Amino acid sequence: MSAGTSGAGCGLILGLVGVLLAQQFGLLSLSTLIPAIEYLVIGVVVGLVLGGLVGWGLGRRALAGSLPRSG
Amino acid sequence: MDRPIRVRRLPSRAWGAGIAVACLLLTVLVPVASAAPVRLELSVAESGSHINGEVTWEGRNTANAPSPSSAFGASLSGSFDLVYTWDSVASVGASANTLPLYTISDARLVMLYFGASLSTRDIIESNALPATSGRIFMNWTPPSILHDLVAGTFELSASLLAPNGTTYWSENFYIDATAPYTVGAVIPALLLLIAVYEVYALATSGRQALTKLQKPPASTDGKESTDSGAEPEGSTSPPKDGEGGP
Repeated sequence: MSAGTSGAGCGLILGLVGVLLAQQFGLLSLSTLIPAIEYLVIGVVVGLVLGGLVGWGLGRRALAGSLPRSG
Repeated sequence: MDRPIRVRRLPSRAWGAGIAVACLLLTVLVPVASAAPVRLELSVAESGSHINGEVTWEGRNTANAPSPSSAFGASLSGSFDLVYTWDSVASVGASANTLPLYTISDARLVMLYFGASLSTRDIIESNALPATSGRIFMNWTPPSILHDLVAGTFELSASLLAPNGTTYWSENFYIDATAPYTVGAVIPALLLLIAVYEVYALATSGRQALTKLQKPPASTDGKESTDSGAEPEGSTSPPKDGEGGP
């Protein structure tokens, strides 16, 4: 599994958990079905994209750090 | 020769996803299963019926908590006193002396989550008579499982119903249910643990992928690659502890 895919997976879970946690801390209301589902979908999509980008970036950095430096 | 047994393990991320979904289902399904299904009609159902209603929550008017930001703080371990007060309003064109009569037989309180009812409380007056005003007292004790399981902002719907189930009046308001020690309920504590683990997994995703990339491919006959006692030329796998160093 590539770093980008791995990061996207983490981001997906974090997006889902983030929305549920926001409700548990009183920052968000998930009482009505439709906005609640919308919040969850938005959280998942944002988490997926951001997690994928962060994972991809970290993968690139780790790869660059492992290559022998020339000069 | 003994062949090494390869055990396929579920990725830890799949466990995380499973636990998060289980939390969600647990929060919604457990209280819903214990509560009777409720049909909410949030508008005045009978044309021409006009009732002025008011509900107080521990002495405070619920009209003051119409949004999550103005929610009443409440610990779900206690019980709450609510007072429903209503009076009929003269219809347009009618004399103020001829107020319409209404039979209010049910005061209902519903706690909502994902559109489903987490908890429902009804005060039913079986001998209700037509009147122009009335007052109903309610004492609501949330189910103990709610206190142990959840925290956060919840919407409550208070309504006044006729004997045939028609909703004459309803009002929605918010409460901020607090958990012991802020994260003392099961769901927030579990969600925090999952979040911490996932942040750690995300931070180490680059290194993990690189480690997998640098692993030598496993031989097909199940033998370890150290049989020959030498690593292939050009291998980039890192030296083991205590080996290869000066």
